[in-house]
Amino acid sequence: MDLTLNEEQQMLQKMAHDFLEDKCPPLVVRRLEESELGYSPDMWREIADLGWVGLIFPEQYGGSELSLVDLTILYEEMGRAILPSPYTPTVLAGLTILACGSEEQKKEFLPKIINGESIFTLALLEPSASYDAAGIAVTAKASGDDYIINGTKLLVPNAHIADWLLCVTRTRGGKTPEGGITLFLVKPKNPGITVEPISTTALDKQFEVTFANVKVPKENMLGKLNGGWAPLARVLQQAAVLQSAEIVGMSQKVLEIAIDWAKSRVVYEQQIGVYQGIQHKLVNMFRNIEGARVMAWTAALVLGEGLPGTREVAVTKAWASQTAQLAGYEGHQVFAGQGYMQEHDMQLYSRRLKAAELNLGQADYHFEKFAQAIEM
Amino acid sequence: MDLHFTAEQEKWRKEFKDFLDEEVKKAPPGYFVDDIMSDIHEQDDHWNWTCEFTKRVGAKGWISMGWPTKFAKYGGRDASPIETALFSEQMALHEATLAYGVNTLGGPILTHGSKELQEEFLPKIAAGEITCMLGLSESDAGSDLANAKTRAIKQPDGDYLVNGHKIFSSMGHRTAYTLLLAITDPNARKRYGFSRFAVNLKSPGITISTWWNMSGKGHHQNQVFFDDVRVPARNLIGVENQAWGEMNRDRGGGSSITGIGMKVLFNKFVKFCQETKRNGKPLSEDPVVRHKLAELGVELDVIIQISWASVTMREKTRGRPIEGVGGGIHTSASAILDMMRKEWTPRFAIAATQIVGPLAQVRGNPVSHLQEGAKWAPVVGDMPGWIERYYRGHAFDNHRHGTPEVLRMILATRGLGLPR
Repeated sequence: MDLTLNEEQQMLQKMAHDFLEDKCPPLVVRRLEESELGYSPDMWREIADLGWVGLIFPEQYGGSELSLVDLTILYEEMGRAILPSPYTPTVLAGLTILACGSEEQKKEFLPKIINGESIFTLALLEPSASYDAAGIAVTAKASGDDYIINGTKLLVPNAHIADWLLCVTRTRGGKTPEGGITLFLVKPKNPGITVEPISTTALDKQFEVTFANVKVPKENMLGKLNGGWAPLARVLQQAAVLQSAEIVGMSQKVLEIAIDWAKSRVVYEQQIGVYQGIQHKLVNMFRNIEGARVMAWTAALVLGEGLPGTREVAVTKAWASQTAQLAGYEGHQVFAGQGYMQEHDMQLYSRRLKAAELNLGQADYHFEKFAQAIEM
Repeated sequence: MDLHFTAEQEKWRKEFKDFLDEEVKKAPPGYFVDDIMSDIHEQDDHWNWTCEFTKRVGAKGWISMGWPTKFAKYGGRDASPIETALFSEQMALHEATLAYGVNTLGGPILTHGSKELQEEFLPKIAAGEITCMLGLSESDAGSDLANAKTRAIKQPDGDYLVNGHKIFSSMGHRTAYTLLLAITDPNARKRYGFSRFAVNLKSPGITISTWWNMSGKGHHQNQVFFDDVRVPARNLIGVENQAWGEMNRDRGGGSSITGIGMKVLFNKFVKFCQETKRNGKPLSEDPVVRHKLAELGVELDVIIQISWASVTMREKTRGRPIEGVGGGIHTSASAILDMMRKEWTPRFAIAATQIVGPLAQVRGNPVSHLQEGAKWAPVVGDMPGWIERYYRGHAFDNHRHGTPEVLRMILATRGLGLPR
């Protein structure tokens, strides 16, 4: 049993921290938030050159073959800097390809993902707003050598810049909702696809993607026909853990700037950090962050060993989502009115914390997953 | 990072488990029902068994295993934090308890005590033969211990004469000794005039009177009065007037895992909810109940995992100089865990009464003192009235050794560096 960082992990942490401190200060985040692309292609290239995109992919495709735990360390730093980048959906698509793609597909796509050349995204969520297989209603029907996709996907990140969409479709009804899911790789420029922006709290680049009789060749199928859910579900578990690690980084940064503020802001002739009303909020954040970090490591270790990890993932994301709520809300309480203003960094964080809290399952969703995992 | 125990650690774990599996079978009838109610100190046969069990644990060398190797002749072998944590984990899983305060004097005496005092006490502590109550709190001195007024004034013959009044003295009616904090230099600045003593509670001039709390005949607390109590000079622990600093440097306590005992209870209550029907449906299928329980269960897993992280951090930093209460880096972790435990417990108690409803108020302590109408008390595990008892108990459990609010204050100033 060892839940501490080893030397290599400490180095990875410091390297990521220093790089992002230098390249991605809040000023850059603000500029990118207002830009059309929403990310910096130059920085993306640098990140790929540093090996971040390929961090956990096998060496044979150009990756560094590090572990999921190592990736949580990187995610904590990306969260702390609220780095705007197509990292998450690209890597998640890559992990899905790795999990169930043919050798040919792996050789075609993974090296380009790893070197930063191809940007991928997940067309997963639908108006059902469910992360379960039962929520998938977008259909793909066989027609000769093609499949015809119809339906609407929501909150698809980076659809405006993606080279590929990983689209989750229903190919049959069947006994269980999980047994009728098939994955396809689709080019967003395909005829029949409409991409419309959705404005969100975080002002990140999210889209509605509508499929109207979109023809996709069957060699673009990823994994087996009706066998898409199992590999995807595994990737979504990893995604929930990584999202939790990102929350740890964001919340940690909020805690740090709030502590600095509590030491310097004077109200009624005292630093506000003297008041227990403020102290207790900050300690609560601290408590939650410590727990979320340890849980993200734990769940990453469990998944890394190929174990089911249902319970650990549910605990991790439920707790991390609560942490995101707490850091977002209490952070604003410490900064009071100032944190609400656009020029303040607090609102940069709290808006993204809300997205991270809800993405891949809010706390309530994972409470039920936990209840199921302990066979309640 | 690694979630697995080494083969050696698994061997320790199995040894603890096998021993405790056999031991718990020997306990008197109703012992573990009683234990959960903290009443083992009330019934003679339960208290006696606890003491005998403690001596058998001592004979295994497990009370003193965490002591430095300097005390090898008393079983000190500087056992790793993981080993002592595994012992505490197995104890909690077996719902077993050592006799009250068996190691309370151990840390202070082995860290600061004279050779004479070490030779007198350490063998007996290691053997599990010493019981000890804390003689710290007073009417005006709880978390703000520096307000303590009890005095121990040096006499011409070198002995000390103690006068004062200690409160909240848990198990003082059963234990043989107290670890007494008293002022030895009344003229010193606050905190600089304290000393600690190992005091035999049979000494003339000591009066122990029961101080009833709302647990009824549950956790037994006392007030202890000291009237011209003569304490031999040799029973002074450490340097006269230096107790305040010394207290923060006590060693030898071993590691523990917070949350294991809570999980045992939680699991029993989940089972109760699965087996208890309301309006034709198990409680556990009610979405509100599921949500309440899942939220508590999630937090419990987090608490246990922070605990292991803290133990493994301690394992990694062994041998390095550490400062602060209870082992340095763990000042934060242990305060966080203590705070989380103290807040989880009442939330669980409140949730359980909400889930169970009106019958959650029925008392049903089954062994020590059967209540009238106890047959109506819901049975959790094999404990009628457990919910009611647990609810009353939480008001105590979350205050001892500092309320969560006090812990927050400590974490804010010492952990996060906020101004005082």
